[in-house]
Amino acid sequence: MFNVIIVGVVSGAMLVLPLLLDGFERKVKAAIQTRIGPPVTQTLYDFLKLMDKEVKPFTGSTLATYMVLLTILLQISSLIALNYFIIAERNFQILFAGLALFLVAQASGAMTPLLVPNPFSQIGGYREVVVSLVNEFTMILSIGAISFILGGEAASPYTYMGLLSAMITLFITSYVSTGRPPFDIAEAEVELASGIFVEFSGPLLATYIYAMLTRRLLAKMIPLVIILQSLTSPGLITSLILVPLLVVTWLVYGVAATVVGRTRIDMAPVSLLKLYIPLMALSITGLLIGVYYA
Amino acid sequence: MLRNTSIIDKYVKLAESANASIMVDGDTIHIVAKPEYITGLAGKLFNEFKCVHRTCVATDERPLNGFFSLTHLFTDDSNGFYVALKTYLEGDKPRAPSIIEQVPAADWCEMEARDLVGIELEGRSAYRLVLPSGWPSDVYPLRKDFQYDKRPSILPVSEKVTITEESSTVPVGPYHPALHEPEYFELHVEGEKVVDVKYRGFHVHRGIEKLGESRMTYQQVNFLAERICGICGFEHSTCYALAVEKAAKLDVPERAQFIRSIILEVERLHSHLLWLGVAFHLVGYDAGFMHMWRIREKVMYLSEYLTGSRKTYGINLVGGVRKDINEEKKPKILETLDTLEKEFKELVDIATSVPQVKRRLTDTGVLPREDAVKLGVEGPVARASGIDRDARRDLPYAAYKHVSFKVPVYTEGDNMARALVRVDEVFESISMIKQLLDQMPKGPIRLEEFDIPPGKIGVQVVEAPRGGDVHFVITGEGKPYRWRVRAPTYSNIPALRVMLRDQPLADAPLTIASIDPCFSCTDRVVVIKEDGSVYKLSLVEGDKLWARSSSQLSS
Amino acid sequence: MGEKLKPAKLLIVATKSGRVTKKYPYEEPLVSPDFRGLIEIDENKCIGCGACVNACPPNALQLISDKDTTVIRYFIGRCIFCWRCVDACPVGAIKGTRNFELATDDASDLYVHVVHKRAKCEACEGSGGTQKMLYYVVEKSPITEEYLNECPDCRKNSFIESVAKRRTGGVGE
Repeated sequence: MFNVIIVGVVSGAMLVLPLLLDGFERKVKAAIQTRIGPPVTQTLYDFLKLMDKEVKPFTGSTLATYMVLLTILLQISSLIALNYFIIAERNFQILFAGLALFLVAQASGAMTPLLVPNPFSQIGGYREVVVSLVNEFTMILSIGAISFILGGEAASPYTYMGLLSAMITLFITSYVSTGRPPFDIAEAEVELASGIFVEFSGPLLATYIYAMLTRRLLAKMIPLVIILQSLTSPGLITSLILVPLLVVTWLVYGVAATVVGRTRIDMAPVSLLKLYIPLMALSITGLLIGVYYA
Repeated sequence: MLRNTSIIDKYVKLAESANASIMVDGDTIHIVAKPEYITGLAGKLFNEFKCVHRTCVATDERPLNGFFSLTHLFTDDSNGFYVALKTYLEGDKPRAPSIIEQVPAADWCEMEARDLVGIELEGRSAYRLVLPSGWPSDVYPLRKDFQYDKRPSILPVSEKVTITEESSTVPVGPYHPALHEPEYFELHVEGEKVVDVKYRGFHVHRGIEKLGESRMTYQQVNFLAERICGICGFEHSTCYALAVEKAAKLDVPERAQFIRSIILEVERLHSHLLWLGVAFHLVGYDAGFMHMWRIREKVMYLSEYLTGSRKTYGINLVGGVRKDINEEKKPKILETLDTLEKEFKELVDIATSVPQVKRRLTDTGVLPREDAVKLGVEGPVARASGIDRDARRDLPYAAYKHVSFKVPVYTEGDNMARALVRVDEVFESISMIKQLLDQMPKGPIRLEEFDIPPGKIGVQVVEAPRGGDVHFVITGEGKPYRWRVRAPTYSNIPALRVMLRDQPLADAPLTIASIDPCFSCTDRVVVIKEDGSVYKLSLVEGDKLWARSSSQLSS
Repeated sequence: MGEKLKPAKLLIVATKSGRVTKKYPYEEPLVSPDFRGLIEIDENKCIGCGACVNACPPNALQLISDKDTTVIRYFIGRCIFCWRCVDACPVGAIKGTRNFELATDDASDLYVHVVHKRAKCEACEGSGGTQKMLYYVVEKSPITEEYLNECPDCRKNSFIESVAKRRTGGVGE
């Protein structure tokens, strides 16, 4: 019971992380681009300012509004589930529930631009769906491979190689699902004129942006949780180790995003598959060899 | 000039075959023919003599001799001649034959002549190009009886985006967060593929040609010309000054020409660095954009150090320049150029190794050589499609005959080739500035006393960072009688239709940016102030815009 | 592998150059010594001839006259800082400065007026050029008293009369 309260408090505190860390990332990005950049609390200020504005209902499609709210709810539930897994008890069903909630949130997030009757956001939504198709599927595969290897007793070096390559794949899929360059093709492309962002305004826009940022938080949490659960025992201490690791990962992802360009929609799935297929093949081979030797 | 007599003889024979009069004045060949011979002569000039059609100029010469005139300007690049093919037209509703059957590149300038001076072109479909659709139909701004500050009342006409069944329309502009100037591209897309493009421009007409002919004196027009464009302003004012000096046969001091050439190259440096930054931004590589502009800042400081202003230098006058480059300034220039070269090389190295940049620039927006020749594209766009043309080498002006430089030519014709042409030109410019500084002669920088006789014609082509810029001046009393500017982007925009066809939508902004469009240069003709009434632009007009050339171009 | 990691070399470039943003307006602006800024008209030296008005491309300098005064009006809002007026002024009354921080929320701050008295004509009721212009002309070339105090039209008439007297003995009576 006590644990549940702690989980609630920690999740509530983590809700502000996406905004602060985004501001931090913008500062680092500005430093790499030799400029000063906005203050670290800028994203938080923007969020608060947008929430202050009058609520104009989005008449183009009320379904899109509901989708945004659904996405946020799913993400918060996923966050709570993951925190429960780290802090309260190592119940793998809760972990997989949290993962499932995250993936459904990805789907509803990709659905939102498609529901808006504006050619720019339609094109953006289409691109998002295509990338998700390749990326989320691989994420599921890699998590499956990892859990299989960790759950078994095989200890041959091939298994460790398989584990390593599955972990690398997991981190890459986590990077791609954050929607950073080179894969921010859904809204950042020039001809889209910001796609869906044009349609929302005021508090609804604030919610949508918050959903995008929480997506980034969860995408980084998942691989870290999977690593940490094999190294520590349940308790608040794991949370205290998790948050700095999150900050470091966010920073590394931010730096990586600054030094690359943006890919194009027809190149994106191809280049992703060229990366994932060899890595997953290596991982599954290691897995099978491990099973064979066991 | 003895070795050129055989070439001049060929032109004389050409003129005689059409009963036209011919006069050779320095490096300009003036041919005056009757209207019915124009199409044939233009065709022969384009096809047999391999001249490049630059622009056509319509002039209201009724105060001088009672006629309208239409002059087609060609340049013979391989021999270094300008050819002005002129015809006189009678009456208040003059008619002239169109030459677009022979020379497709003349499309836009003929329509501009029709809009602004009222010359009807026979043998082609006509449409409103430059004036808004609500403009009264028999008011012609560039005629001499139209006062420059008159404001006709315009009916606002509101328009809609063309919706078709087969494809969805993505409007890009006129107000678009990504564009720096207003332009309107209507991209018809099917899925991710662009199947058609409609363009409507000329939103920022400012009445520069009319202003230059009415309120300004010769020396004042220099400052007006500089403000035609924010990026390539100095070459406009140099081109104007050179055209007037050619018309009046002024002997400008050598030192002034050297200073002009140095500043022209400095301007080329800043323009290409700007473009590279923008190209990186459009592929999402913002860090490259920031670093490129950081490097460019040194060039801007150098410009201010040499001329007194970061842009719109204001040092050009008819007869020379106003500000000298002293000996004390030389070490700073050389030091800046050395640092620039090193940093630029390093950054281009890093940037082209970014896989997304490389893959998105290569093989996109391809312009094949035959289309490039037919459309008369200019500058890096032409040089990237295999056309070896550069006005600094073919029609030498200012001090360019004293320097040696390479002209980079690539044959692929894609966005990457256009980028590489500009990168190579930066290195060439740096070496040219060093050579010019070395060889600069001593002497005055300005002609103090000179006379400009009225009624003379001067044509000059200057190689701007975007291509060849043409200024045509007919001198008058104390101010130009007619001043025509044709900026390079004017010729490059029609090429977009070929480049954007069947390309993924994601490459559209990059392709549009790869011609380095300077829409301020393109639309600079007449006042369209309309008493503050707001109107949306005609996109149905755009339909007619593309009725031209679709039959001319190979699909 | 080295080729793949080359984009990361940007981090080295960024570290070498540091933050290039200048903290203007909390520090000095980065203008070179040759920067062309605002012009200043020295009221004591100006003679009101209007050479600067002729030379100004955007008509920022204007000459406005009424019966008693001539005013040179300089509208900073239209000035393009080309300094052609500095070149054109015959007495060197216009000086260029490096000032460009001219933003204000009151448009009347942008107008500078240099007021001159016009010379009264003794013959007719009109007025000619400015007083100072006349003194300048007197310094540069000798001119008789009676010409000094007449406006250009009257001066023309006097001259025609005196020439006529010398040739024919009078203007047709």
